[in-house]
Order: sequence, then C-alpha cells, then structure tokens
Amino acid sequence: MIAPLKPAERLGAALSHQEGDRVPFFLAVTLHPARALGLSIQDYLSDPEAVIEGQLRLRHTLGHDAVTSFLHASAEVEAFGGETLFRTDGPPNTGAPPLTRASAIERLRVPDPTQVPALARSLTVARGLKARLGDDVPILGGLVGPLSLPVIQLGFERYLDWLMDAPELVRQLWRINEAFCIAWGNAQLAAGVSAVAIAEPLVSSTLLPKELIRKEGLPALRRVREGIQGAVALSSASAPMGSLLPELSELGFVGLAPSCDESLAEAKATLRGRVALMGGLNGLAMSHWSPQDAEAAVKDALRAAGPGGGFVLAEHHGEIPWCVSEEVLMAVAEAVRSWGAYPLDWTIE
Amino acid sequence: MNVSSHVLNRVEAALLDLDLEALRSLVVEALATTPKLEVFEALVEPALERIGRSWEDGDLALAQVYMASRLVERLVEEHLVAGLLAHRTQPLMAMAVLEDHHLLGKRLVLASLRMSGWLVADWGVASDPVHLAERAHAEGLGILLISTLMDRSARRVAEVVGTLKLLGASTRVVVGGAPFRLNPELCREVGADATAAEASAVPALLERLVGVS
Repeated sequence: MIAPLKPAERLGAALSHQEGDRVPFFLAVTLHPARALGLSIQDYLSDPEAVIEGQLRLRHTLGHDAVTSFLHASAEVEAFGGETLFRTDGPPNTGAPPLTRASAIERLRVPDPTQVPALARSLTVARGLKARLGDDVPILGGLVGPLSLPVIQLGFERYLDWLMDAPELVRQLWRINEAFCIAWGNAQLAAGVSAVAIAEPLVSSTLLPKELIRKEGLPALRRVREGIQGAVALSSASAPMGSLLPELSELGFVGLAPSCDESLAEAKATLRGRVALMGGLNGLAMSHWSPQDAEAAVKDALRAAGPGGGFVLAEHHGEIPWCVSEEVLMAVAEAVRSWGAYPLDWTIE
Repeated sequence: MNVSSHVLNRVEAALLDLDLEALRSLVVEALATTPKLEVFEALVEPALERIGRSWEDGDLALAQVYMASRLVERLVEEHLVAGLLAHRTQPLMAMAVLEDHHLLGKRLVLASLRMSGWLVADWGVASDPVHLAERAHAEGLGILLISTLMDRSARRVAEVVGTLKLLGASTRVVVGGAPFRLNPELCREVGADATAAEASAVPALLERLVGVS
C-alpha cells in the first residue's frame, strides 16, 4: 500500500509513467455544478465565482484529481464574431457561423483572447481556482484546436467547400487559428492553469483525409504545442485517432486522449513510457448506465491501461453530458477508489 | 444495367480524386446505352455507397465522402431534370436539422436521396421540436428525417415523436447524426422509427421503411 498522494502528485506520477497510489481520474463536469448550485446553465457559466464554487464542490463530492477552468467551446467563436446560444438542459452551442465570406478571412486578424468577455471569464475562473487550490490540485485549461475551430467559425459545410474550392483561404485561417491557440493557451497558463488540453477532433482521419492531416495538420499541431509555454495534452474529442496515433505521439504532448471506441490496450502499448494515455469512458453511454455498469466500465479501462502508470481515467469527449446522473458519476468515482489502487494486482489473471 | 467492378472502381476513383471530367466521361459512356436514372442507380450510387462504407470502416474521411457527394450533386444537376426525379411512388418527405446550424449531414443525406430518385423537401433548421412535429402533421408527411449534432438535440427528437403521437399523425421519424451513431440505444430511447450510420445508407433504409408501411 502506497501512502496517499495529493492529486497533483498522483497526476504527476501518471504523466511520468510511474504508478502512484492509484490511477488518477478526472470527470469533465463543466455543466453539472450548475445543478448542484441551483443555477441555470447560463447563469452558472456567466458567473466566474459560481464556476469556481461549482468546480470546488464537485471536486469535493467526486474526489477526482483535477478541476477545470474551461467553460464552453462556443466561447472561442465569440473571439471571431460568433455567438453562444445557451440551453436550459444541455451545453451551450454556437450560433450561425460568423465567417461566411472570403473577404472576412482576408481581413481577419488574430484576436486577443484576454479581450473577449467569455474567455476573460474563463481566465478569472483559473485565477480563482489557483488562489483556492494552490499547487495541490491541477487545474486543466482547454481550447479548440486550429484545425477544428473552422467548424464553428465557418460551419463544417463551408469548411469542406472551401477546402475543395479555395484551399488557400482555409490555410490562411489555419495560420490565424494557430496564433490564436498559442495566445489563448499561454493566457490560460499565465492565469494559473496547470496544463492545457487541446480538443482537436479534426485530427481524426475519419473527418479529414489522412494525407492532409499528415502534411498540414500535424505540423500545425506541433507549432501550437511548441508555442504554448507549458504542458499540453491533445484530445480528439471522441473521434478516433486510428493509425495516426504513433505520429501524434511524436509531437511532444504530455498526454493523448483518443476515442474510447478504439482499443485502450493497443493505445497504451503504442504510448507506453512516452506519452500518457487519457480517457477510457464514454460520456454518451453513461447516460443509460446503472451503477454496476459504471463499475464494470471503470474496471475494463483500468485493466486495459492502468498497469505501469501513464494512464489517466477520463471521459473521452471532454464534457460529461448534462443528462448523466450524479449517481452514475458517484459510481464511477467509487469504482476508481475501490479498484484503482496500485499495484492493480487484481488485473493479473 | 450490368456494371463491371472495373468500371465501378473507376467511378469510385474519379469521385475520390475529385476528377469531375473523368466522372463525366464515365457517365456519358454509360448513357449511350442506358437510361439516365439507371446509370445513376447502377453506376454512381453504388460508388458513393462504397465510399460511405469505407468511411464507416474508418478507411476514408468524412471530408472525402462530402466532396464526392458534391461532385455527384453536380452530375445530378447536369443530367437529371426534376421530372425524372419523381419517378417513384413515395410518401411526402422532408428533412430538417434540429437546433443546430451545422448542416453538413443534411446536405449529404439530401444529395444521396436525390441521386436515388427520392423527393425530399429541405426544411432547413428547426429550432422547436413541437413546431417541427406540428408542421409535419399539417403537411401530411409520411416520413420526417431529422439530423442532429449534439446529444441534447438528439434527445429532443423524443418531443417530436411525442407530439406526432398526440396529434395522431402517422408520420415516421428517421434520425441520424453523431449522437445516434455513438449511442446505438438512443434511436429506440427517443422513439424514432429508424436510423442510419451514414448518408449513403439512407436510400436503402427508406426503401425498407416504405416497403413495410
């Protein structure tokens, strides 16, 4: 039995490919604290003090190993003239895409994230969490990657139309997005986040052609990773990383979160000792889990990827859906405490 | 029309290479001996289906499916006049995206259906599931296709289905989009009649649905 570690030490052990006291876990509860605080989702996400309080409360309830200052992806499109549409029973969504004409791209300059109210709120949350938690509990920041931002800036249809008919415009937008992602990531680190997670579903060859990702996407991600002055992880937001996983593992990210539709054991074998593997739980499936299902899913993930360290159990998309019950989240947390203690002898048949 | 696998491979390759000229020549060659709609059904549609299956198998990207589909749209516009499209006996059908401005899935499905000779009205974005159901009922739709992107919107299909039931409508609801692909239970949970994992599978699904109605 290993003496209990602080969450930051536990996560540090995993990222160093060591076995700490148990497998660290993080449930990206960006919406659930609103319910716990009796606030609407819009009121909650609009009030940094509420988010700070909500994140601390859920950390206390679940006992997971990190908190997040990430609010919602649509906040980033506000930097480019877009809008956020709030819902009462689900995550905010983006409104109509703000960049619809070639001239808008030609005129576009890199926005200053600190001057965008929705992003500034996220920075206030990071500073508040840092003040309350110090270095004991990691704070995860987040941003949408440069290849995926055009989906909300242009709309996916226009994005693909332009890739077909006007690829230079898309490349220009990618370059602006790279600079924006670096500035936004560094602003979050300056505000106190411990690491930045990039959500980049379009790094999946199920969405963009593999050749295009290899030629232009991976170099762009490397430049963003190098430009952000701190630890950076990459999530494909539940899209499969597939055969690109080995190449993604060479880009210098501290952790990779592929889709949990992919084999966790194979991903672990690919990344072992070099890059931490994150994920293992399917948030959409959680919506119809029983507590027993939650325990079984946690055990499956621990068995596949836990031994040897280098694994952080998490939901693979980056946000727990609003419809997932607190009972299921508690069952996940309880299962990690029951089954996640190293050395995970029970996983050896 | 008998199509050799060699010709089908060439059509598929032209679609993936975005080579409209090569595609045009293959179609024109076939049109010399075969009626227009048959050429599309036997030559172009199977090639697009293969591309859709390759995407489902993880061998191709959605971008490639979309771009191939756009090429086919151009061919359809060049060769198939509106009169030819209404070639089948079909119920009234419409398609909408529920609560989202991301219309890619709808465009793919509409292109696939149009090529297969189905007439489907494009209702754009529907922001209110109850109004969508009321409109479907008022216009006497036989089949309503709903595309979704977010889990929340997908779950609101239950409100469409519930409202249709309250109104006593016989409209069938076909759903699609990532939430349904990632959570196979969801179609049943929201009470929809059917779902398809990819756009090119929708024409066959409608054939089955209409065939048993």
